Amino acid sequence: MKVSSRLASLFVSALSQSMPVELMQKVARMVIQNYDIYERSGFPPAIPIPRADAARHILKDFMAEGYFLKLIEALIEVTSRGNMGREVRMPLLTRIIAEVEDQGYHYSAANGIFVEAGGRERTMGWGTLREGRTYEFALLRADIVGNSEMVRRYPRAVISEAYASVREMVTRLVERRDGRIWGWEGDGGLAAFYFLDKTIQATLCGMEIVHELFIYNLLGRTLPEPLRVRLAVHAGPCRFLSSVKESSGDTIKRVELLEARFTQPCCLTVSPGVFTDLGSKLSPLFAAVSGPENSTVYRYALGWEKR
Amino acid sequence: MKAVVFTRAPRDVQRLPMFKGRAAREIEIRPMADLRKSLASLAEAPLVCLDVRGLAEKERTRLLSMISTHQQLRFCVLDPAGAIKDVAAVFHAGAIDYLGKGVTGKALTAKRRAAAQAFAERLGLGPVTGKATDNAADAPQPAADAWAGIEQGREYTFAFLLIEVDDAEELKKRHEPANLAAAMETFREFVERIVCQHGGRLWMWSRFGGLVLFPLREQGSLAPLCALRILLSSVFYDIEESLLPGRLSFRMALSIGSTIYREADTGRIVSDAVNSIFHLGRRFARPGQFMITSEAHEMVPQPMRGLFVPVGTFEGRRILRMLRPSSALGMREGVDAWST
Repeated sequence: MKVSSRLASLFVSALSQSMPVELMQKVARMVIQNYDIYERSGFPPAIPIPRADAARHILKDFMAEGYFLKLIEALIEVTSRGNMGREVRMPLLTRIIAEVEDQGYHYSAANGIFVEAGGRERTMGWGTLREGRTYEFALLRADIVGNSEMVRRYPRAVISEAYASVREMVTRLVERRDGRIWGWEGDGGLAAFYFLDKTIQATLCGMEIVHELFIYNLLGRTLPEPLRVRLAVHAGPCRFLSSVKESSGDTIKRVELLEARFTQPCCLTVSPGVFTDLGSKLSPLFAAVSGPENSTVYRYALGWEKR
Repeated sequence: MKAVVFTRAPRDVQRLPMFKGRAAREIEIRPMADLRKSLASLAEAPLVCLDVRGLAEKERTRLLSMISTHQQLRFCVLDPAGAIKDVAAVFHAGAIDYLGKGVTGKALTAKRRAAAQAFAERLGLGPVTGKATDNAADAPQPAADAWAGIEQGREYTFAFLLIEVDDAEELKKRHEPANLAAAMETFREFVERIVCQHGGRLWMWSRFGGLVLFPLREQGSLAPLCALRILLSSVFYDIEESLLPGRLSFRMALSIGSTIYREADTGRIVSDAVNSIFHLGRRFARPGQFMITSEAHEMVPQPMRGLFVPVGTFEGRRILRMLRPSSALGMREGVDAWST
């Protein structure tokens, strides 16, 4: 995020007017462990740093390392929870937040982080994740069944149109639940969910895709035959890389395996870890089936009562 | 309906009760500074919402005038502080709604949004884009003028969709009246949201359900698709919106008939078609079922007709029933895959 001179000056004023240097350092260490203002600024530890100088150094360091938003998040946390049982007041913080939000972010109180606002172009990391860092995600994998045969059977333009419809549908349903499409290549892709209830959101999204695909195949399809999609959800740690092609790791491999080997067409499979999060209203809709390495995975299919 | 809110205080907008919960997904917040450059590119936005907090009167007038020059847009004014004294002036400037102090403090209902759209249609303000959130993007959209030209006091042919919660008496015994009323309000909002996306309107609605109207046009009506979507989406309603502990069972019935259309005082309407749909829903349909008359079945898109099975006659008409999806049955697995 680009920090404007107005925001920078507001930040320095806010910090220097509201807290001693020790507390500034403590807040800074919430983001960068072992952050040492004396070491960074070159001030001898024996000489007290003026508050404004300390604030300016912290700003410079955090901007250089790309942690400015994280620092504001830490300030919000400290001002809302207090420090060692004492209230920390920072009257200018509201204006800082407003300035950040004017740059296309909004503060998600539920998650305690800034994320990109709706009007902004959606990025794979919600505007808040850092490249190369590992986070917990719920991943939803979607794949159109029988791609090779269909490509041979129908003209390229016809196939492209049909696949584009599926991609548009999946993207719309994923983004409606604050997920992000991480990658899509012709016949399938990977979506990620990061926030609260991520496993539930990914699962509900998968179920919605199953339903919408049913309606699409019934009333809106452009090919003579229905498009069938396999869907799988798995959650776990994953390194965030904006180039999904370079991403690998166990969680991605696992969701790909679930989708490719243990999912029937037009069905959604969730891993055991995801299933345990589903709750009493959702879990009865899933059937236990055999999974990898003698494990049990859970399947959702839209079926209809017998005639 | 997706609304784009222009504001100087994005955080304050998010905190408004009217934009909490599901409504939060239906708005997009943009900084006021982007208003001018955004207007031209917003041709497809169903609604522009101008937050007038912090705007001096002169500035407010200038911005309203700027928006109103973009005739492809519909816009409303958000005034949670009640700063505007002359509310009528907002409408004179071309706004279709005014969201003042009394409205922003509670959830914005689909009914309110539909009323604003209907108002715009009556005045011929801006196009109905039909673009909506949720599942509507894939749905064939109703004709832009589905409700245009329908006047109060005149008789029209409609598709009637009756939706009623099952076991109302049992629910009354098990839940506090206030809690039950709040729960039923969420159900009404769920139904209304999907109905609006398919060109229908809640017409007569009591606590546990009511009647939805869909104007019939040459291309038919989206009523059957609407009912299918309500049925399929009910699982998401139960999980995400319902205030009741278990699954909420409801029944539906669809028929075609004529009635005099009136927006208020519907209790005085005498109509065979209205009586008949209530009879079909209440006396013939069983809990969780969706019944349809053979006349209404003829307007069902061909590929969807196979989802219905004949179940006999009622009051001299052939009736069909829609098969129930596994999600609505609460089953782990559908017992019969539907081949498309």
